[in-house]
Amino acid sequence: MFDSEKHIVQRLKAKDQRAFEKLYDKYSRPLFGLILRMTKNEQLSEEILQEVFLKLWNNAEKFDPAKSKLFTWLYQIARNTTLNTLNLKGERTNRLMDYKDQFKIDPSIQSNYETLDIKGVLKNLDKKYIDVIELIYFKAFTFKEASEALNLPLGTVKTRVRYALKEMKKYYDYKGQKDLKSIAILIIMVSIWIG
Amino acid sequence: MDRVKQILESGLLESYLMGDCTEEQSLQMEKYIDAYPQVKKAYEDYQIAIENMADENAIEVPHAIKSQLMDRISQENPNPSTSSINTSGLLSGILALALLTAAFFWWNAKQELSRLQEDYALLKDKCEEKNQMFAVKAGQLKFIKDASTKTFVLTGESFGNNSEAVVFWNRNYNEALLQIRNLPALEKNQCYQIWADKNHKMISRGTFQSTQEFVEIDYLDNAESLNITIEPLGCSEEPTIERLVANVLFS
Repeated sequence: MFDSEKHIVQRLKAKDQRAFEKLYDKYSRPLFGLILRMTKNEQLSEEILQEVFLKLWNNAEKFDPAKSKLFTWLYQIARNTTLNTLNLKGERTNRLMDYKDQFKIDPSIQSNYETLDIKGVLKNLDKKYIDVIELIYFKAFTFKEASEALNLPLGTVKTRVRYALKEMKKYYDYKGQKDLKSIAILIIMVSIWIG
Repeated sequence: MDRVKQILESGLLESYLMGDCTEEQSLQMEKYIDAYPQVKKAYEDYQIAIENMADENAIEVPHAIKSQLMDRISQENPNPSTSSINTSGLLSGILALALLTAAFFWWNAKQELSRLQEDYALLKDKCEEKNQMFAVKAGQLKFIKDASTKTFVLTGESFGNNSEAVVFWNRNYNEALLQIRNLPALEKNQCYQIWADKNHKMISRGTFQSTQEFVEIDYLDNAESLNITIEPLGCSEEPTIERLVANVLFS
C-alpha cells in the first residue's frame, strides 16, 4: 500500500500489472494535462496517453533512476510522443505558425474540460517567463522554435526558462514550508484542545 | 568564467530536462551532473518544478482509458509477475492444506498409537498376571500331586452340605495348602483363622475368606491337628473354641 516508487518501478520491470496500475493512477492526470495542452484534441490526447503508458510498460527496463525521476522520464516520453504524432499529422507546422494563438482552444474541443488555462505558481511569474514556459513546456516547442516564435535570441529564451524554473522551485519550497507551518499549527491546536 | 556557471547558463541543462538534447549532449550533461553538485542540485530542482507544475495542471482522464490500457497490456503481455504470485499463492495454499491434512492425520495416528500402546501395556500386564496365576496353579497342582504330599479332609458340624475343606500337607517340603469350597459366608467383621495344634497348644497358621479356593498356610512341623475357627477380622491370639468350624487330626 505504501510502496516506494523505487519498489514500484522494480515491480514494473518484472511486469507486475498492479505496479503499472499504481503508476498510471499517479501520473496519468498530470501527463494528460500536458498532452491535451499540446494537442488541444481530446481523442488524440487519449490515444497519445495510452501510447505513453504502453511505452512505459514495454520499456520500463530502460528507465534508470540514477539519471532522472520517473516523472521526468515519463514527461520526456509524453513530449516526444506528442511531437511525433503531431508531426505525422502535419499539425505541428500549423501550431508553430499559430503560436500567437496559444491556449486559445476551440470551444468544441475543450467542451469536456473546464479550461486549459495554465494554473498554479507559474501564474505568479512575469508574463515573459510564462510565455517561454508555456511554449516549451506545454506546447513542446524546442528552444530554437520558441526563440523564433517569440522573436528572441536563443540565449534569452534559455535564460528565461532557467529563471522561471528556479523561481517556481522557490515558490514550491515556500508553499511546502507554508503547508508544513499550517500542519504544525493544526497539530498544536489539536494538542491544546485535547489536553 | 566559473565552470559551473558556464554550464548552468549554457541552457543545456534545460534542454536535457525536456529531452531535447542529442545523445552526445546527453552524455556530456550526465557527466556534468555527476561531476558538479551545483549542477546536480539545479537539475533536481528543475525536475521538482516541472513535476509540481504538471500536478497543478493535471486533467482528469476518462475512466474508459484505463480499462482499455489494462486490457491492451493483458493481451500484449500476460502478467507473469501477477500470475507467478497467483500460482505461488495457489501452491502455497495447496501446500498449507496438505500440511494441515498431514498434521491432522499425524495427530490422529499419534493418538491411535498412544491408545494402542496403552492397550498393549494393559494386555501385557493381564498376560503376566495370568501367567503368574497359571504358574501358581501349576505349582499348587504339582504340590498336590506330589507323592509325598498327604491329603486330609477337615470336617465339622458347622459346615454346610456342600462345604469342603481339604489340607495338603508335605513334611518333606515343609509346606501346606488348604483347599476350600462353599464355606459359609461370614459377616463383614469376621474371618476364618486356621490353627495347628502342637503339644496341646494352638498356633495360628493364617487367616482366609470363604471366597478363596486355595490358601497357602504356614507349615508347622510335628503338628498334631489342624483347626478352623471363626474369628474377628484381623487375627486372634487364641482360638475361639466355641466357634470351631472344622478340624482334622494328623495321625
